[in-house]
Amino acid sequence: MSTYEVESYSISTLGQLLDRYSYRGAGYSQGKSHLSYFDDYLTAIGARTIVIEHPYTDRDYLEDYVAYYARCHASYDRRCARLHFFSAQFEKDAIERMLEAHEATLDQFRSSYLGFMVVRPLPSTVIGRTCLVTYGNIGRDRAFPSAGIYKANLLGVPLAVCSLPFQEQDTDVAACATSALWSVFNATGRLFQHSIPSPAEITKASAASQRPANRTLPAFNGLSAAQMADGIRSVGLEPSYVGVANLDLLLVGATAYLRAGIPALLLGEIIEAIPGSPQLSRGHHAIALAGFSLPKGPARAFTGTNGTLFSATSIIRLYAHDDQVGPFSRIVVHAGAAHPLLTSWPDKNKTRGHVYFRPEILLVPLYHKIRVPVQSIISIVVSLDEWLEPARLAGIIQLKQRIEWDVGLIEIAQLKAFIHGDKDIIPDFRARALRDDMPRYLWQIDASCDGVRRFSILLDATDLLQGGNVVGVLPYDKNACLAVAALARNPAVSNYIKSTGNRGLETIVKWFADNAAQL
Amino acid sequence: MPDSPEQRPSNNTLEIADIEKRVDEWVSSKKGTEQMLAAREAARDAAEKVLSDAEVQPEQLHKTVNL
Repeated sequence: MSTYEVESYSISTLGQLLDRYSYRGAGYSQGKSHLSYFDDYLTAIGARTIVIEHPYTDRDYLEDYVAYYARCHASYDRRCARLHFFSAQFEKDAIERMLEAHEATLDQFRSSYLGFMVVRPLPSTVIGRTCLVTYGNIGRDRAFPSAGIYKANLLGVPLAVCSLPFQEQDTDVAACATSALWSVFNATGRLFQHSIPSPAEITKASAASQRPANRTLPAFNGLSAAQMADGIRSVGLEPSYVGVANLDLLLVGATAYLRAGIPALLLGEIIEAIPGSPQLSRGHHAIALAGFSLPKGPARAFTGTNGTLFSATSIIRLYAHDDQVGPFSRIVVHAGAAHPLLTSWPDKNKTRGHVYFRPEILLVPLYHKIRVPVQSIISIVVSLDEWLEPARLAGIIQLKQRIEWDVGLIEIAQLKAFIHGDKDIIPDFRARALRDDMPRYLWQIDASCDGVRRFSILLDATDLLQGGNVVGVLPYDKNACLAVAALARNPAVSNYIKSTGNRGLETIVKWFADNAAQL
Repeated sequence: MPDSPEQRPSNNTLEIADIEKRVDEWVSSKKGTEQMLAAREAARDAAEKVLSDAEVQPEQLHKTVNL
């Protein structure tokens, strides 16, 4: 029979519980940086009560137990404990009232549920599958599009939380790369209907065709990007790499995929730069990007002083599942700084604020039909913008400010729902877009000025790379669209554009030329 | 990006023939031609820079991630 206990939330209680349910009660939680991060996080989301469920069978841990721990001489337990967090304050008698189906108590449990954390019966890496609500949006606009609904059942009462699962890496069956892949697969499994392998299964699948330098398990040697890509292939998805040493490319690229709910893996170097101490590389790391702060304020010029303006360049925070820190950990963006991505890692003095992420590769797990990568779309947008801006400066396109662009991948149902609810699209085009036969995935490119959308370009994300196929444009501002059409219809301009050799650019301006009469 | 109704641009104020005339004048002027040529180069360079920045080198793929 399972036991259910109730404790008031505090950092010391959480630490004691992590220790209590670890292997032989020696979880070393006090020495881990995770505990202080979780305390900050749980305090921020308003945790006041913990309900402890023990024993609890966790599928991911059980798979790893069968694959690895069961063959150890030491008798590691196969069952875990699960800690449920609530924002309401209640005592143990609430459990009795819950058993009696006391309606007010059930409502309190459901409405104040903040999620759960599985405690694995291991010596040290005890934080298993953890689903906690995301930060609220009070005072700050944040987006966590990769989060989904995760259900828990407590004494027959269904509870739900909107989250993305996190777990601490277990250096035996999983390195940081495995934990990040596991979190990402929890989102892509929901989106693309693939099974979600356990960490041990991910490590083995990733190392199946490209052997690590040392043994596969224990997994202390980690994985390379190429091996992580194999892990992605093992669940039936296609890995897509984007080089993101360029910060703007990272911000625009990661958010473009995240908007469709696809979390990307970010690989790079962890740098410790404590003032007065020599800069130190801590090694290479992988995290799962799970959210971002909504762009606010002026966009920066893309990759230069006079470049295209993308809204995503004004993002000031990314949120990542970083197994060395915790779920939805903050990465503060300081564009222009020597180290523009400040992590929530503690430094050697256990202080946060001096450890940075130097981004190298964005690795995106994609459904095989999403063929056109984000860099192709960004290259079309910058090219288009370089044509439209001189026309704006010459007074042809009568907009006071330079166009600001927003790029995002979108699934057809989501797009049609958006179009259906948007009465600002010029009516004939709105109706036509709702009737149009469209591909399952599209790239949506919004062009705005002064915070007002002027038009949205829809490109087929499933098209051939040589296609550059425009599905359509959603026009909002008739004058701006007519000006683009007039440019496109001018034979000299049209020839100049063709000589650019950019097929996507050509098909976009052609759409404006062909539809000028209906605008 | 939220748009408020009062910010919506007013439609129906310009005719395409008027704009086409302005485009003709601009493109056929010396300054316009120079701007078109500059735009062509800028468009090519900007697109190429994005694609080259986004490239991942083979050696990067084999760097082990192990923290």
